[in-house]
Amino acid sequence: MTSTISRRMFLTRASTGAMALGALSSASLLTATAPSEVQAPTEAIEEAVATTVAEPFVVYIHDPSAGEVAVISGTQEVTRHDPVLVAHLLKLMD
Amino acid sequence: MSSHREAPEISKDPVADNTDVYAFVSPDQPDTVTILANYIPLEEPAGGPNFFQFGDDVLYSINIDNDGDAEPDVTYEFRFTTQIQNPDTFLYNTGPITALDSPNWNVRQTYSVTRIEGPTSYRRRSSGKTAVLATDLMTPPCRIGPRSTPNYEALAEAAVYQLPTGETVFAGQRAEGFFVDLGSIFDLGDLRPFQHLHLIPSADAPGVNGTKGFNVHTIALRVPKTELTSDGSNPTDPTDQRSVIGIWATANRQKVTVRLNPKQSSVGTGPWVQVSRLANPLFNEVIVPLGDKDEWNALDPNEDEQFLKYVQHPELAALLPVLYPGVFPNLASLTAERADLVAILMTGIPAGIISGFQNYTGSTNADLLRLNMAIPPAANPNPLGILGGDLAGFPNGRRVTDDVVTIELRAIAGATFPLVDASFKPDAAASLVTDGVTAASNSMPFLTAFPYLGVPNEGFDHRHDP
Repeated sequence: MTSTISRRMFLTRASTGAMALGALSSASLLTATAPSEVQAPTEAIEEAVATTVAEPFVVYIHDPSAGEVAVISGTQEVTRHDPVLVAHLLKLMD
Repeated sequence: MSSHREAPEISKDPVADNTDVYAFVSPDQPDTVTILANYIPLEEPAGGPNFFQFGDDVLYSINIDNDGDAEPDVTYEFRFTTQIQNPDTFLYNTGPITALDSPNWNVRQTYSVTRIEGPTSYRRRSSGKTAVLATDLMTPPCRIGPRSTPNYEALAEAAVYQLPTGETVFAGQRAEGFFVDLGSIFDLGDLRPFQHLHLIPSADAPGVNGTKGFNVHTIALRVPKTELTSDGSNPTDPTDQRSVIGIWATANRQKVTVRLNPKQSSVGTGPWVQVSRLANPLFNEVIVPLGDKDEWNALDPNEDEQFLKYVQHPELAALLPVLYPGVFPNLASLTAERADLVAILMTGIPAGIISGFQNYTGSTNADLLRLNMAIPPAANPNPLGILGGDLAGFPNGRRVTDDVVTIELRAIAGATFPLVDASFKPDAAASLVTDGVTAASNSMPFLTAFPYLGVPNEGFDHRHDP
């Protein structure tokens, strides 16, 4: 199956996006600011949201206590240890 | 088939595939309505060692509209849970299963029943008032053979539950009750009794029941009529709009499935997504074209307006004169919108068209199985239902004995168009056309009591039609 996003691009952008979101979530957690109110200051975020993903992009947290998040798209899965990002994502479902 | 494997996506997901829906005033308890929702098409009875079961990851629902807006006012949800007693054997059972608590029965399935009152839509993520009516009800085992499931009738009878709230429920394997000549109909619309008239002719032959000897899984629900009407009244007047309800069944899966490591099974997460829907037999199968079938399965009935054009100008009505040259000249010249089929399938039949009868639910075009609950059960049911002068049969609901293939074939062939245009003269063939299969060709007889569908065909000894 082909995708408009290559494996290398996926890995890079997933990593960038996760890191960017992680930084973003750190700010929101520290300042107790609602995510929608946080200003998006970085080029990394702009680049990440400009990415075109032809298939569903799934974020999966199997065990919150482990602080690991898996990002899945196409035939790729990337796992990152990022407790702050995990905490931020969990807050979205509150 | 009625709705077996009728759409591309659901044909790959048999556990969630609605195959038939029946709804009728219970002949032995006429103050109640029985609704049967069948799933899992063409179960080969010998299909072990992992015999058929409902999906633990599927939400099954039976929906009732009682105010004509094609939205559910009463919904019954069914959720299933499988328990494996001994994971260290490959066997479904380690000895005869003589009771529902038999220690020999290794793979069991229980279920819960929930009733929701008020508009509910999984797609729109709205729900009415919810009440759990029962939990941990047992499904019977599949019917395997004389050594594994002796005295199956009693075993299944023990799985019929009377709920404190008035409903009677059963969920489990049953013999396929729907009868149809699959092999001929899908061979370019051939009908064996008339195939000398086909565009590619051969000698006439009796029909062959393509579903004979197969099983399905049935959710059976018997409900007091007073629990189904909009105001709790007991419907006795066929002319009263409150006597008419619209019924459909669905299957729903969660939006995301995550397959974990090899030691763990997959898990579902996310909101429910409707993957299968059924009311009138053959609607999605024969009326809706291939490119729209998956979408139809995912939509609510009150979104059916977009499919109206397929009912007004059904593809099969145009095909019959081509497949049977010279047999349907009047049908071939019929270019008007098929208001008869719209009434039968999309709105219900208004008062004044058939003496003493109506099952009209209003102007909302929606595929619903409409039942006028004030029409009493027939003492001698005619398998042609209303077409045969029996107001208690299809398309006034649907009984297990109704020959819906013949009824719909004849309706599409023009037999019912005079109901809306008295000047139209149906072709002689319109009242004769049939696939040549009747309920008498089924392998297992229907029951005279709930759940009415016959006991399953046995894996050890069963026969399909040659």
